[in-house]
Amino acid sequence: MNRMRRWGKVGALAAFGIVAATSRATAMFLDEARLFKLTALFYTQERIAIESSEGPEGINGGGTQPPVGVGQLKQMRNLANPVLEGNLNRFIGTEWFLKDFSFRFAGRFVYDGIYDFGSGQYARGLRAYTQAARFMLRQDSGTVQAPGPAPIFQGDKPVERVEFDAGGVPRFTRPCGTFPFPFSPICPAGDPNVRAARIRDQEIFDPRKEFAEQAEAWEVYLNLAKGPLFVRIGRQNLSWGESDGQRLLDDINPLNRFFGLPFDEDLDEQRIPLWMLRANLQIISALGPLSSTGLEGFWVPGFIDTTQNPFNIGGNHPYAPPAGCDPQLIANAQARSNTGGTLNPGCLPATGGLIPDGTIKTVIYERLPPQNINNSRFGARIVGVLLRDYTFSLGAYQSYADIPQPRVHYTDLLSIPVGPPLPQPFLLPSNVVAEVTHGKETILGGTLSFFQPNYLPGVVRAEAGYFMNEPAYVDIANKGVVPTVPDILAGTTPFLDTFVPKADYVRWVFGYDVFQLNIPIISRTNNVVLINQWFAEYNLSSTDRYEKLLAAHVPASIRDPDRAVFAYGQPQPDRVRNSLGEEVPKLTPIPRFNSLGNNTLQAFMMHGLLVPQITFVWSPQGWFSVLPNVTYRLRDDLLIKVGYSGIYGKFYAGGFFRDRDQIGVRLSYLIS
Amino acid sequence: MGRFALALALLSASLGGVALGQDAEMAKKRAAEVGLQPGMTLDASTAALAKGLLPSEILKHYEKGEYKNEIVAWPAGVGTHGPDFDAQTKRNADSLTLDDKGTIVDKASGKQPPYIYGTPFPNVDAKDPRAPIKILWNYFYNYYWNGNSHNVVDLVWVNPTGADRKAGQDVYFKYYDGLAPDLRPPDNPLNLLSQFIAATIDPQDLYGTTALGWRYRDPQQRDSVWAYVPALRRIRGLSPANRSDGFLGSDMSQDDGPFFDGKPEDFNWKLVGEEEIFREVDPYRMKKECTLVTLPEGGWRTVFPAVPNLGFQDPQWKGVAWAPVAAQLARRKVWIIEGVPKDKYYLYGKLELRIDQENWQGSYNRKFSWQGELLNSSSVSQGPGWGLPDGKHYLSVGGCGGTAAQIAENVKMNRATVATISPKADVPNDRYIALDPSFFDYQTLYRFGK
Repeated sequence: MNRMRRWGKVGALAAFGIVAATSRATAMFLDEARLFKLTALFYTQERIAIESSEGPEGINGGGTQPPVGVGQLKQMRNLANPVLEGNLNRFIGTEWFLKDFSFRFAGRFVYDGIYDFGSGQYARGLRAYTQAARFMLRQDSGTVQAPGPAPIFQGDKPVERVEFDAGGVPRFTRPCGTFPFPFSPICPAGDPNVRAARIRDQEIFDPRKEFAEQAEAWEVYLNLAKGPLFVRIGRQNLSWGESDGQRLLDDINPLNRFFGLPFDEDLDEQRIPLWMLRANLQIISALGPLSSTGLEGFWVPGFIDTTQNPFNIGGNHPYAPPAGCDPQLIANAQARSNTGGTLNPGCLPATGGLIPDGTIKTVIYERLPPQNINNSRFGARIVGVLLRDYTFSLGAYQSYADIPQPRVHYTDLLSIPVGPPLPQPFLLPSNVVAEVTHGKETILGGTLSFFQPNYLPGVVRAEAGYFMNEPAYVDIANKGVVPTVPDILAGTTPFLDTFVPKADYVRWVFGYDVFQLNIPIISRTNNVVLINQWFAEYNLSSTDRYEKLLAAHVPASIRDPDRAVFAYGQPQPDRVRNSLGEEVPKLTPIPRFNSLGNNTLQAFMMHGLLVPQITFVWSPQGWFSVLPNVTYRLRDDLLIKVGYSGIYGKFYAGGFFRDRDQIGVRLSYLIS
Repeated sequence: MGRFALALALLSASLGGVALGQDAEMAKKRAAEVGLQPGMTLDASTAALAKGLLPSEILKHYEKGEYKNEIVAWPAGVGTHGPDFDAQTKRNADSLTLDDKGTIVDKASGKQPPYIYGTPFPNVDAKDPRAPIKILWNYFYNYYWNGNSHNVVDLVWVNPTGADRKAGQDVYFKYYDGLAPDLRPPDNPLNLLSQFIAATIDPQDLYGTTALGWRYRDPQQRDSVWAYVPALRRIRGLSPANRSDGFLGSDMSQDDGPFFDGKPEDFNWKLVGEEEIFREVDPYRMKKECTLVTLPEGGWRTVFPAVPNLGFQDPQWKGVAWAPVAAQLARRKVWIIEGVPKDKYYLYGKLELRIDQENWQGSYNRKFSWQGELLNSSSVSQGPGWGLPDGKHYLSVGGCGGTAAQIAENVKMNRATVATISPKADVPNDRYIALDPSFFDYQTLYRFGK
């Protein structure tokens, strides 16, 4: 892995070198017959914060950690993307047999200097995180750990083994025995050997490796075409659907969303290629109302590739979502406050209480799907043209949900000596594992696009999909209930057999693209392009089961208006004013219906050398974003792009990033 | 007769060469006396004599010394599309007419014939209100006769002193109508007129952007247009009506095609008149010095000589960078037709096309704003049609030498965009090639995409 990192740096430095040389570049053909061509993209992109981070409102969330001040560096991303393509058909002499036999080999080298340059908070955060993770790996005997950020481990082993009886009722096998759902007793004091065995198979999630230093054979595939059949085999990206800049139906390749703000980075650069077999078979050239209609299918063998979206909630990366205070700090604070201690504002540690910091260990465990055939992604669709004007597709596929969902495991019970009226002894789980799972889902959907020639002519794009069994979040199911002392006195009982609920969603997008809008002050001979989209989703699943669980375990919470609303999705704290006029955190549940719109206007000025663009993103849930940028082509092979990204409004969804406004500049060098 | 005329033209040109060597004052005096003759050069010193023989914005370039071109003779009767074409043209004169929409229909049945080739309306009467659209169809069917094509074209954005940027395009056109009978597609269930694929091959940030278009013979059926967008890795439907918009900020749009590529039924046409003008012509085609290579899979490739054909390609050139430095000028009689788009969102309010009265080739395409102001003026160099090495087919499209260029000048912004062809043997400039219809399927775009 170290070698990979070194290569990442070498690749990025090579990019700098080439950019610095600034000689005009054309594609390099490697042979006389021009069958093998080398092209490349290099860029360096720097981003600077233009607002200071909001601090967490309480230990349960909000704000951005670590805080960033105005003018501080947030990104120093360097990318080298050399691409070698070749026509093997002519080279080998198979033109008589195959229509196409070609390959593409694209390398990707990334180096982000955020951990090595700038104001240092990310380097310090990463160091603390790494130390805590390594410490925990060593401290598998159950001894008290030093306070520090909760580490993220990765592996494919279950934290607990879950079996199902003949009636489909889950049974959890824990170190201390097997118990039926839903009310299993928790184990007595943890068995350090069992925990050690679990941890031994895990890897520490390394944000530097994941986000800042990469050297990979990014796309490696062969194209084969014969007659009506086209096959592409190898590591590749596949995109289905009609949306622009974001995706709805093409939930096939995982996305890396950690190198920029929402809507601010190229979707294509976010995509992570998968080892895939993909085929396209033309079945109808023209028949009745159908023309150019074919079948397309893909298969990502699960025994080869189960790559998932990178996941990071630790506060050690500029574009990680706000997780509020560190989970370990929260655990420490809860343990103290549970035994008579006092909570302090923000992310300050709690004081007092009987339980020293680190007694309760918190771990974030990203459980990756094991590599086996059951974890394959696969799907098929029919795509074609109807009545010569309507381009359609209908498809079904199995893939992984974009957003992983957590499930908290409470293990290794400790006996805490407290007095009446609490039960004796008062038991506390000393090892809390927040397991993040990437769940499979099945998607059925279709697309339609056509030209609308009447008033303000444009292209209508529509997608709709039914997303079945998508992993979801319902507070009581995923997180369970660990009652505090006051909770117990109020009648709360523990619910520790957590699980990841499943939900069904209907999602759709409507788009309307206008190409014939002329703004003479910009150009009389070039139109502007206006792209408009509206994404929406509706959750179809019932909440009855969760209401019953909550009524059984936390009867008091039902009377709390802020917690009485059940929802799929992580409730988010936002600030509201209470009756005394004080700003206090409020939990905002995610409603069944969500939507999001965006509008992008792009123009061509100065003979196409200057391309200004502005994107508005808006959510009826109360946040919006403005993303203007301008690209100037200094030469055919040298581009500079300057942009601003601002997010405003409620602390919700995209609004989580509202304290991260930034400006950036990208210098790109192309070998064409 | 044709050969004689060409010999005469060549003789005139060589005599002109002698004249060029004479004292400049003498030449000017002679020019004033006899007008612009083959062998003379149109430049700042002789521009006054070309008044009324060129579009005014083009003439200005000569007056200012920004353009300079030799004049050659292209007498009537030089160039041919072959006997099959001529025979069918004669038959068309009796059998074809236009319906109310401007669509070509059979006189007897009143229906669109399943296949048309040859010049549909060889006898154009200036008094006929449908003359302009007949002229336009003649232009198209003379062009279609040249068969399917595959060209790698450089689109260059040019300012007065040099090139701003360049984009390489790999373009395929398949025709379903107007071809020689032996090349007629066996079936055409969608009633297509043509299909094209245009893939951007450079610069790298646009690489892989691929457009696919289908044009139907049905007058009321809009084109179908899609593009594979590499940044999205998706195929997106495009507006078939957005044909007047400059490609990526350039001055050249889809409707500029090889000269004009709009759908005739999308405009209201008017005949403005006829005149004699100086057309840009290709010296190599005029001299019948085209280098044609027979392709193993059928068709012919034109290999262009490596000579500068535009100002920015010639380091010694002092005029505007988009000047057609290698082109010659030939005096020809043209029709002038004017088209007003039916689509109010079309960028231009009026197009003015000059089309050769004998061979129906386009020469100048001028575009005006909806207020009548000239915005864009484009020109294309062509030459007489000649037989191909197989003795059966004929080529009359564009140049084959130094003037493989189409120039679209933005008159208001003092800039231009040119389409030019690379002078390399392995660069496709192919005609009469066989193209499988499945190559133009919607699905094919995925193959072009990364």
